[in-house]
Amino acid sequence: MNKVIDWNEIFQLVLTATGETLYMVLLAGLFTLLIGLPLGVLLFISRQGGLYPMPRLNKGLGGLVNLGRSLPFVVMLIALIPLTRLVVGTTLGSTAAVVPITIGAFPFFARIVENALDEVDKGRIEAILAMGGDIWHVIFKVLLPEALPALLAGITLTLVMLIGFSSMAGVIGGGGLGDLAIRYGYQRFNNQVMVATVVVLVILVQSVQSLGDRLVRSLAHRR
Amino acid sequence: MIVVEQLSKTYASGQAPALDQVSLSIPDGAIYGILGRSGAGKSTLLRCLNLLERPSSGRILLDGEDLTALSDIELRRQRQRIGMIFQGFNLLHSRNVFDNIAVPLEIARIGKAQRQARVRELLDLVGLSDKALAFPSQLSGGQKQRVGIARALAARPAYLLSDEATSALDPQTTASILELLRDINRQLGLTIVLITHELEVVKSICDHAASLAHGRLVEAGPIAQLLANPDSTLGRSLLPGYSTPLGNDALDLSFFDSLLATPVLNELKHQGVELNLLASGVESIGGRRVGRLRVAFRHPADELQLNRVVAFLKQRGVRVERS
Repeated sequence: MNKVIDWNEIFQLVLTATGETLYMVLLAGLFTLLIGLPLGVLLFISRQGGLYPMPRLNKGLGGLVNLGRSLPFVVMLIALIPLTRLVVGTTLGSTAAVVPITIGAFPFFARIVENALDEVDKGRIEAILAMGGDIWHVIFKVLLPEALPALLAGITLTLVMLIGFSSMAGVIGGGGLGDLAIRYGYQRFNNQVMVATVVVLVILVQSVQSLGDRLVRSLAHRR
Repeated sequence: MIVVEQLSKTYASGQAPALDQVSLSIPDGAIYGILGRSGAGKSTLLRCLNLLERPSSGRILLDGEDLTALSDIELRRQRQRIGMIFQGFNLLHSRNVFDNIAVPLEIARIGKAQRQARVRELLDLVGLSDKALAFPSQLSGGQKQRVGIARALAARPAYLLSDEATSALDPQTTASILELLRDINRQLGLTIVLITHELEVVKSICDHAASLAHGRLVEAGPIAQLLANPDSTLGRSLLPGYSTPLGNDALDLSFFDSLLATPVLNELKHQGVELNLLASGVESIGGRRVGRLRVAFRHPADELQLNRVVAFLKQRGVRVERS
């Protein structure tokens, strides 16, 4: 039978798990941004007929990105264990989980960035080139600022996805809310913990989404 | 001076070339209008002038320097001397008016204080000082194009390329933008090359014109010459027209400038040739005053008499067209 645990204990459990989830999501989010943003820019400018066409590189990177996106995350989590050990020295815990989460997310984010940049009016790029701008001017004065609302929407989408990924981190002992739900809610039939994690997850996703939406709207408002 | 030599552009092999052996020269201080239907290649030609489009063959000489032979860095430096405005304005929506105008100055690495002073000057020039902090989405089409012009002028270019800059604007706004272009041509001595499909634009501000069809140059030259040349189709199309076709016994006469004050028709009358005035008008085209008359012989004229009259008029400098 399920053992009844008191609310104080539940609170402690959920608090720790939330902390772990936030830790994994924010750290993996940061790395996803740091890797995915330049990669997305590179994918965009290296296209055939793009600003700096490098068809071979583009095809190679595109293939890697597609590979990264075609594996189910749980499979990737396990397949990447050797790499995780190489990078962080251990294969267990929240920090270890950041590696596969980042690797699972950045290809997706890179595609989002590429598509967001593709939406920028080509005439604006041309205007900068016509006034003597180089590719860096185009990237930093046109592409990124003009695509900022779309990029923010993409970051929001990615963060929500990261929350989803992080819930599978329990498989390699990463902890977090998903792990808590599986260990207490599923394996021990503890409905209180189950409900608590669901509530926290919903609140987390909702606040990320509405914060993102608000930022996007405040930017779009003046444009 | 911009000299275009034997410029050709083919997008895909096997396809008809977008530009076919086009040569023309654009003198300093000119307002040079390039006319053509859509697909005639005029946009390609204009975009070749700052190498936004690389020609398949031919040269573009900017003050004697061949743009097609320059390195990337040198080309970018030359581009700073060529401003460009667009039909779609192409302003950055992430920046306000002030910061949009500052972009070319940032690219030219001009210091902040100087940049700000220059932008204020330009805002004043285009009459938008009160809109400095507005974002492009808050402006009308005409205001956006004014910002585009200010931005194009920011780095003090010697040339301005205009890619159908007024085609998206209503007639009144078009007129005010054209007036602004004429002002900066006069005040700053800027050479302007514009492409358009609107004859009116060429008529109202250009002093040189060229026409393109199917990628080939049809005619080019000073408008005064085109107007005076009876064989010039472009000159013909720039003259005011009538909606009814020219009858057998009628003539269309064009008088230029001082000729307007000459009593040519009176002289004809003294020779016993009486003409009825069917229609008339005076317009200013390419900076010249042009009077245009449609006249018919009062008494039926035979071929001999008609030829004699036409020869007399031509000899007096009148442009004559007959059916």
